[in-house]
Amino acid sequence: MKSTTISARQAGMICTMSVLANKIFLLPSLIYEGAKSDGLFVVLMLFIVDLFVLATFFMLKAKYPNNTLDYILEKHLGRFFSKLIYIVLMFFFLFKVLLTYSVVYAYLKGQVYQDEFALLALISVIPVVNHAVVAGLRSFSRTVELYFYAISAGILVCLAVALVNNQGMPYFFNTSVPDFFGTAFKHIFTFGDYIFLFLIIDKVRMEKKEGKELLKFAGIGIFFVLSIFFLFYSIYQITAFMHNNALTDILSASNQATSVGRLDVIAMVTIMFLSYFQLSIFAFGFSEAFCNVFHKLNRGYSVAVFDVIFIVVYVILVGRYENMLLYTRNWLPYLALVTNYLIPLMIFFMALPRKKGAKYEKNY
Amino acid sequence: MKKIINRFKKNPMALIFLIILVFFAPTALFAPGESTRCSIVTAVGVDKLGDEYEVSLLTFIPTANQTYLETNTVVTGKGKSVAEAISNAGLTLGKKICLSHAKTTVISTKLMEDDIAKDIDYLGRVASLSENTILICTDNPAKEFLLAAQTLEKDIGLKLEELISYNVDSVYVTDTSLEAFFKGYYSQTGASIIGYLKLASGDGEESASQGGQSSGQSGQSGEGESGGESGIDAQDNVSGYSSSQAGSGGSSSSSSSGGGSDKKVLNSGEVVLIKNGIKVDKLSAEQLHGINIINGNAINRTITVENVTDERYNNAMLTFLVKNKKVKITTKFENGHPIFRADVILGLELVEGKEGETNIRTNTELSDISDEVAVKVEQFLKNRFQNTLKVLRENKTDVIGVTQKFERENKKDFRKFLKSLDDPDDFLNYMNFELVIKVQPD
Repeated sequence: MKSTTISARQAGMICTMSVLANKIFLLPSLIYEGAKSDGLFVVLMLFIVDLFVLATFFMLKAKYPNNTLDYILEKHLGRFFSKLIYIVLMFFFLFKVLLTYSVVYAYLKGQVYQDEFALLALISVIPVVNHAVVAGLRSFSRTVELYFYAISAGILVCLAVALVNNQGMPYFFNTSVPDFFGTAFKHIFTFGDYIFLFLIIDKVRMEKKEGKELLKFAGIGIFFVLSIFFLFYSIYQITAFMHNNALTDILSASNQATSVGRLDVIAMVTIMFLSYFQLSIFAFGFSEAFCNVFHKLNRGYSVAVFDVIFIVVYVILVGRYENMLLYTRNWLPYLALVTNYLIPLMIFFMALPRKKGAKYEKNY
Repeated sequence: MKKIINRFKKNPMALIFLIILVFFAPTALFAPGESTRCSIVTAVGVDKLGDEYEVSLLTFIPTANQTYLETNTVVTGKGKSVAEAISNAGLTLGKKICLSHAKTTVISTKLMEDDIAKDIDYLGRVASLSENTILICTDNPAKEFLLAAQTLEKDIGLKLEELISYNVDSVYVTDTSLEAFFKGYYSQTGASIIGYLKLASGDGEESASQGGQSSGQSGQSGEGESGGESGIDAQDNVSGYSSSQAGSGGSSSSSSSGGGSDKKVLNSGEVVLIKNGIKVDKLSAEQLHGINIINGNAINRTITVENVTDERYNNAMLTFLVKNKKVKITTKFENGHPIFRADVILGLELVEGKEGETNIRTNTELSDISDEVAVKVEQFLKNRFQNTLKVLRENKTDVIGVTQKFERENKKDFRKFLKSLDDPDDFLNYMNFELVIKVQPD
């Protein structure tokens, strides 16, 4: 049992990594376009909803400490709906991989390569992601643990340098209510990363208040994202819509920063490592959902199917990074409504105590 | 062999690593250097010729030599848009244009007769160009300016970005970057401020000195750095340099390879006021100092006061160095009238003094600042601030952050006040300014 499980701490680190996905490059600018500096509150609001999802995870884990999600869903909804939920999650994670890949590709194309490097990118990403998925959650999470502090240090350096840049308080409360909620809706697909935890619910060990660790690392991820948003809006204020790479742009905004060289290299290296982990987490999510839909197929098949679908969808259907963003804002919010809100809500009801007065085992 | 195959079978990642190595290592090892593929641009100039843009790029040419001098060239490209012109400039060099090291963007004031935001929008958005690229303007075509700047290093060992960087840190002391321009442009006031440098012909103004030695003319009273103009001679006196443009590359681009210029760059610390992307006025260094009186970062500058007579000095001219400064800006409304108040505390050090024709023969290190001196300094700074304010009022340009401050602290009252005006743009004329200066020895 122990060889396939991960600690709550490792699960928390995975949460931190996944929470940072797609939120620290282009998103601050896109959200500013819709909700001005109040975009910070949009993100806060979406995170609060995500935290309810995390709370639901704790409730479910308390009620079913060792059961798989498949078992829980089948027990409450039957086989058909259980499979249906897994299929929805499969698509959710597939699109998450596509979005993450597209955003990172566009970032690296603009900042590093300044040219198309599609083949090189695919060759660099796919084997690593495949291996991460095939190696299993335990080895993957240990690798995450190994790199976690280096990645965190990279982000903290970016934040520290951004703090010394010219900045002022962003102008808040300038957007209308429809714009505020409209922007939130357009970008909900970028959130809802904690759903991943439900897929590995049986593999997360949460003994004696270990849940606190998970909560702590989830909080670190949210803190990083909110800090980047805040500093980005503080530094750029009304020109935030012109800047596409928040983490890099908060570094390169001051004369002092660039006079000591290209400090944005710190952001680039951090992003490269971070992206590998994010892509692997989402690919693992796809694989886990796939294996639960097709019980007879093992993880190797799921990886092969993932590669084929990923390459075909990316090259043929998505192709351009702008297309992916268009889908993310126009179509994928509807998918996210199901995965981020409807499924957690259903799980919440499943996690409610069986009998009146029954209590959860406190693990956080 | 079997053992090796088995080892790879056990560890498929090693096989993948090997495959990647086999595919990419030779390509990486034998690939030509990045500098043969990319041209490193250190400054960008934008001009408009009729309907077309002409973009000039001060480009670093990596060449092996035994000196510290860098070889630069100015390459130009024309196109219907700035992006197209840059791309066409690449045709001339036969390399891709890399803007990551571009620290300066030059535009001609002629371009600023119309809204420049649309002309330089691409530069504001292109990811490879750093956000803190300094935006400056010149009366001459930007191309001519870059040609003159090209010889700076050869003549006096000064790079253009060093000169601009000095101006930004020590003269303007305000953000004059491309980003700051756009911030001002998209703000409620639409006002921004950018640096201004001019060119003079080789046998031109006297203030310019050969070899780049400054011959600043200090005014009767004023700020040291702003008292005169420092000339940097960029005259074409280096063998192999030509002021003409040589060659033409591609359908719409031309290159002046190694071309020098008989023009020299004059740095007088002036800035240009921009309103809605259009140049509205020019501020002299003294007028700029007027703005910087309420800028807490503007220190290490000199203030010279004349005719000082107190118990220590008799009709003396004293020069003080601003060693530290504290500025507190507050806004309020009194009887419906907006008041912008700046409390400035200056820590001054006496650095020079004269009584008539003779030097002051006392130790000035521990000298106190008498009430008479304090009044003189206060009067001098208030006059200077008033003069600058007059220009800002005339041009309806709020570049001192009045709107920002009111928007943050008295949003409702301020908006009501703006609504009550026939021309809200002219609000500076209806604003009361209070400048309270406290002078103390450092």
